[in-house]
Amino acid sequence: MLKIDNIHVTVDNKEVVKGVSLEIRPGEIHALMGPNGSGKSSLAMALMGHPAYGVRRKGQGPRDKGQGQSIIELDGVDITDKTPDERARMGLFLASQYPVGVGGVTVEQLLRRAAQEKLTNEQTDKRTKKIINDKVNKFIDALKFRKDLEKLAEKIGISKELLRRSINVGFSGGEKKRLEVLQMLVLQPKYAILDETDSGLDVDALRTIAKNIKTFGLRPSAFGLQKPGILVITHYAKLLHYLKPDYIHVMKDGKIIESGGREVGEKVEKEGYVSFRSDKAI
Amino acid sequence: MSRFAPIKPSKIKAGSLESSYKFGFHTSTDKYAFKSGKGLSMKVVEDISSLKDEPKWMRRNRLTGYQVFKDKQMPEWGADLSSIHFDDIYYYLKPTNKEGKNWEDVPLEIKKTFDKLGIPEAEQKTLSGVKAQFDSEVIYGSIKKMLSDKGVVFLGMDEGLRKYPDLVREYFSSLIPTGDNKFAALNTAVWSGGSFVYVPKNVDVGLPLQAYFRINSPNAGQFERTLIIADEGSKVHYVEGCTAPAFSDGSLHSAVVEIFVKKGATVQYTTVQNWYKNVYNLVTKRARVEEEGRMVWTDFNMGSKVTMKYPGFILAGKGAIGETLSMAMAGAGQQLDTGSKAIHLAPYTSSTIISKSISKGGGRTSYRGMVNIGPKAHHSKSKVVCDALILDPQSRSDTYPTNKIFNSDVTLEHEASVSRIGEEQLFYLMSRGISENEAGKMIVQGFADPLIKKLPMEYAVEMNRLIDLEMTGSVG
Repeated sequence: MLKIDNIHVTVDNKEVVKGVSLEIRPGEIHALMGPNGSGKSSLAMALMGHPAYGVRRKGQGPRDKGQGQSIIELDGVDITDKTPDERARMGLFLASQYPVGVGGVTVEQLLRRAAQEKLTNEQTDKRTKKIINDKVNKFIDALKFRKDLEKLAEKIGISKELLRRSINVGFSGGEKKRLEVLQMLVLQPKYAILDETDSGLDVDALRTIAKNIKTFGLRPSAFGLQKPGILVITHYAKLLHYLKPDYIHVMKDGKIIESGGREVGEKVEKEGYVSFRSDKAI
Repeated sequence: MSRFAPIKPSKIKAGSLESSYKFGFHTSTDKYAFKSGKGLSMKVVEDISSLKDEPKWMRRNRLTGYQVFKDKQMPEWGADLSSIHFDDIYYYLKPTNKEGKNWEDVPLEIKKTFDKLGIPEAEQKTLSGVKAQFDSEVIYGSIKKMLSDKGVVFLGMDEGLRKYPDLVREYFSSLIPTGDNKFAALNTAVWSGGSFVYVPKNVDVGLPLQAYFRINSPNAGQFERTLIIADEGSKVHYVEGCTAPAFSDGSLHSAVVEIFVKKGATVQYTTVQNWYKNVYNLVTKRARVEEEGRMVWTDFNMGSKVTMKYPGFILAGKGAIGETLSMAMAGAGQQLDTGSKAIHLAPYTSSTIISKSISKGGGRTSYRGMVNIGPKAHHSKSKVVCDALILDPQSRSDTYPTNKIFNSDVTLEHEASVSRIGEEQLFYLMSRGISENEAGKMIVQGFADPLIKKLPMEYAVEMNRLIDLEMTGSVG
């Protein structure tokens, strides 16, 4: 379970997330909706461990590293003080809202290196290591890796040529978003946060991407024995039609003000966010 | 740069700078056959010439060089050279009396040094010849029979002068005159070693010619002199890799390289260097390119305390092409001032200068370049691209371009970019499970990659390894 317990997030000394709690179990899809500036992306960045997003509990000063109760837990392990790479190797993934370009580093290089690090790193527990050993050995074999990557890429509409280019450099908005999903499929996280992966996609791309996310959510991860838990951040109800999330949360002014099933999504679609009042935080 | 992890006390041990430099070993050099006294005088210059039993013209040339060196002021437009103490430098060291004809003849002491540098491995069948320079004299060299059969000459400069005195006399100092600059004059006075290459008409050497240079004695100046003549329609790739062992006193490396690219010939000159961080590396390199000829300088600069190096080309014939691809990396206490000079004298000539630099830990890089398009060089093109990557707020990078254009019918492009290694880039790679250190390396290697691709395979591997070494523990 990915457990978030009363998280407060500050950026430049401004509190942008004001006490959010969430529990995402394996196999569940959660959707987080809300207007611009409601703190959704800040929450995502804080969960992944971006250093510019300070994490604390209400009423506490900045946390001393390794002190106090856990705020973010991944399968029972406190990850509040872990670095982004440690979190990733433990099975957390963030599909970035604005994927960053890195010149001279190809998609293929990035993903192979990521897979290698995951295998060789101590954060991966023994059981997982054993499971992935066979897979990853194949995985690390360059030719096999390339073949598998190309097959996956084709499924989500990414050309081979794109895989050999510098990551996200000169890519279109749609290409970047597809690529984030491809990375998720390759890295097989236990918990995936998808931050506005649907924005900038045309209708067909949206359908393909949604289908792949859904399929990904249904199968136990290659790097674990459980089905992945997914948190989708979106402005639009469109994606939800395809994904059919188990829970929908509405975030406004740094707080989750409503949680529920499909009916919450329908309400957003019909009435917008205006009808949700931020003073009745739950 | 903010941190992705709690700041841990750094574990720098005393002397870790020394131990982190892989080539920081030191072979005893008591076995030098001849060692000139410290400092430079007319007598030292004459002694060098006598020992080498040189023709009179070369002796006169050296003495002129000495005079010019004494008369010229230290250049003050670039890096700080004030702590070079010319009187503390040995200008000539001769390890053994004769050149080794084969591996068995090479003294054990020197062999050990080469072993550590991996030179025997380098002398595999894929290499067309290895010239290894141990201090001032070429003591070991071999050329594949194939090269001799083609008429290709690949010798130490001293031997070249003995065997081809007329050819050497015709070209020596004709491109970089003695008075070109103070350090070229110094080299002219005390030069020793270096390579002499002649490629006959229409011969394609095929595999790269390789030379290793090493400085191996405290205060040992190294003043090698290289002359390459590529006759009409020929093609050659010359590669020099430089490493120097660790010493606390400053060492001076001041080479001169002259290259003649005849009509329709192609020469690529590749340098991969990693001087120890106390070496002053002040080198003059120039090529003259005739009609439809092509000169490519691939220049990778790592290490050294100060490097000042601006490989240049004079595009003298119609349609001549010159390219410089240079990369510099400067860490703490280092200043790498590099660039290129493109002189267009003839019509339809084109020059490309691509310079990339990385500065970290308070290091400083500069791009200093000149493009000069003369009145007769109509329809000429020049493109200059300089990209600087700065890894932390303590480091610095500057650009000093100069353009002198005397013909309106030309195309000139200049692009410059400076980027700081971004927290966002680091975070992105880290969020995929890659450690901060590895992520930093990937970003730097990605930045350098377009240039590294231009190197022969084994050098590309070596270069990536050097960057890897330099980057270990430096991000954050």
